Amino acid sequence: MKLFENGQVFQSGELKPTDLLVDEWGLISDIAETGSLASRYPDAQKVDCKGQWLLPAGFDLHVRGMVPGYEHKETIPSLLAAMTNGGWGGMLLMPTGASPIDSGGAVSRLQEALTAAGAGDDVLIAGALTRGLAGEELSSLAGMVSQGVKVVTQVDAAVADAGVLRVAMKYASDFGLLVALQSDTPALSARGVINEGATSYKLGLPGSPAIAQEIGLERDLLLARDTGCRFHAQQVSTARMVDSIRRAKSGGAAVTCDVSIHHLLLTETAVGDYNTACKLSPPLRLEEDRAALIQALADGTIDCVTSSHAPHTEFEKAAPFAEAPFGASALDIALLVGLEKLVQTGEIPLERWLDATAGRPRAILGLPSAELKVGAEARFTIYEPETVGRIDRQAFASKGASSPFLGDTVKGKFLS
Amino acid sequence: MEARKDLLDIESLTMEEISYVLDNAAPMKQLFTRSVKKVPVLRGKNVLSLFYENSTRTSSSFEVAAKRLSADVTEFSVSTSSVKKGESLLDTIETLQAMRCDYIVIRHSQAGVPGVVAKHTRASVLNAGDGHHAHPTQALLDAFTFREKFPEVAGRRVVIVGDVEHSRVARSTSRLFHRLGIDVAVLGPSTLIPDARPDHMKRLRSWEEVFDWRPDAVYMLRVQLERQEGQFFPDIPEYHGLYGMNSARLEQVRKLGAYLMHPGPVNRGVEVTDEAMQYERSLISEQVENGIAVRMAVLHWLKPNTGGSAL
Repeated sequence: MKLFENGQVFQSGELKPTDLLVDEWGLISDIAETGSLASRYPDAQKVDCKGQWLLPAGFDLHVRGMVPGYEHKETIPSLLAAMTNGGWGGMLLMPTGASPIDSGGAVSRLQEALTAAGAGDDVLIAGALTRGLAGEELSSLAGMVSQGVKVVTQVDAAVADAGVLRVAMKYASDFGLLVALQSDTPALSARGVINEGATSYKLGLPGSPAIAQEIGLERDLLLARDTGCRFHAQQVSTARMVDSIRRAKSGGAAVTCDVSIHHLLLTETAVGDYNTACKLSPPLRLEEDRAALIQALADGTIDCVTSSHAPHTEFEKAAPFAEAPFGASALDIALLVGLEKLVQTGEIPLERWLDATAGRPRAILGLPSAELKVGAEARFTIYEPETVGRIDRQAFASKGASSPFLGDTVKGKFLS
Repeated sequence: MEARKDLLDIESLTMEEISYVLDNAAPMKQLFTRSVKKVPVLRGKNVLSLFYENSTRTSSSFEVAAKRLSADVTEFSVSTSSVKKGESLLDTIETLQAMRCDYIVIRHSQAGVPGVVAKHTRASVLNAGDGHHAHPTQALLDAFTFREKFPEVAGRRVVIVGDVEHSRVARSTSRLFHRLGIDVAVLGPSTLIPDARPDHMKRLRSWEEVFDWRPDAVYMLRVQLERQEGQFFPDIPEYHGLYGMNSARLEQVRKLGAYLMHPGPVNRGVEVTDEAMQYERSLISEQVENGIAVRMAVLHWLKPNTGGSAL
């Protein structure tokens, strides 16, 4: 038994000075006011949590794990270490390895490798909606469902053909699968490497206009309504996309959505002098978009916050901007920078933040909640709000350390 | 004025540096009229010319400039072959470092590449055009040329006509003109005039508006027939009809006494007709000549970190 003493425990929407006991089966067996448990459980191993917060562990809905096949970018052990290091208790792996996750066999092979590396039940695999993510033929959805897949996606390869997507959504709805898409209109965005706007003009780089994603999202919302499929919009990035989601939700649609930590905190100007760490898909947008995303996160229109982790090697990211791969490494640091820059500043209440990073992601996937309550499994992390650290290479357990936040100092730390 | 290693864009230059280069190009140009056109300021220095995109004009201009300063010039032939063989940019830079050159003149189809090279080498890097991003020596030679005609440039007006969207020349030249106090306007189809252009680029909608605005120079951009991906206007005749410099428009230009500029090479019959090429106030060949003087001034000004003094 372990007794976590003197900490602030997040329960029923707020931090309370409380002691918490975890039994030998990993269940929370008692919660009571500070100082009241030590005498009742004299044999328990004591953990002093003075100055620390006990928070529900996060669940990251968008992790581009790069496994299997791109082990130079990330390995399963480094991925799992980054997850724990970053304060997450679970994650949903996008099908971003070298071989596509588009059949039951592919899912079970990856699942075996994950299990062998010690991944628990809270590491989930998302399947490819179409074979090889090519957007042309349906993947073997039934086979993947039989291996436990709950979500199918296209990662950032939007299905250009609306006919294919309509059929895919209809078919997916037979299995109750959640279709999670990063909506886009490839004909408008294909060559873009950053947001189309003042920065793309200044740097002479091909831009991807906001309207590419906005049209894509409207199309996908309409198709989801038409087909009755459960739809989750990944990586909402503009103010007008927020409006679309808000309208769909108020019309009663079964739709949820997420935003990445980068889009909440940065705009296109972060690209600065061709900083490839800020080359993301979708691209970073404008300040008015960022403000709308924060507002929508605060009011719950945006359900979840993700890391949108996408690790690449230093060498790959040192390529000319247009050639460098999209994405930043963020699994290790997303919750930290979010807690510091959004929660500690008061922009997002802690309760909403934890709902967006733990509560809703788990609910969307039908997983048991990570609430800290008696009888529940202990799925919490310990956070030290006052400890100041630096986001350097050593801050990443992930093999990738290309991040817009690299070099920043950060207030707050997760204990492993 | 602090020593500067690289010339990558116009934005990062101080006004002092801009004036320094423009002022120093004049004595360089005077050298051209002498029987001995060479000065020994860069004797023993090596200039490496690295053109990933074909450009006979700009590469020869740099070569002549370097040779008139007595530098040795090496052409590193980057036919697309080594790129196709998969050599990465960082590997190429490693090779260049080993060659111990003092100046690298680089043109690349991708924006930002000269900056990456500059970060990783001790040699001075001169951006000779990167993607749609910047072409700083073109901007400096344009400003030098314009200033020869108008010693007081502030308040003068230049209209840039054509494909602003895909033009590094438009980006760099308009930025520099603006910094020198010259009013800049642009004319072209909406598909080639970016909405997100800087505020100082005033949009004119027709040649009538251009002539009403009374520009001191009309700067015709090259239609990038080879660099465009996608269609931005239906065909060349239509483009020429709407935006080309034809006889009637040339008459108007002549009435205003305005100059005609073009970065070259000209697509005759697309942006400029044969007749306009003969225009008495065309600065096109002066731009070429001034290009050499300005590039000499730039080579003379930049300070590589390769040990010893460039002088």
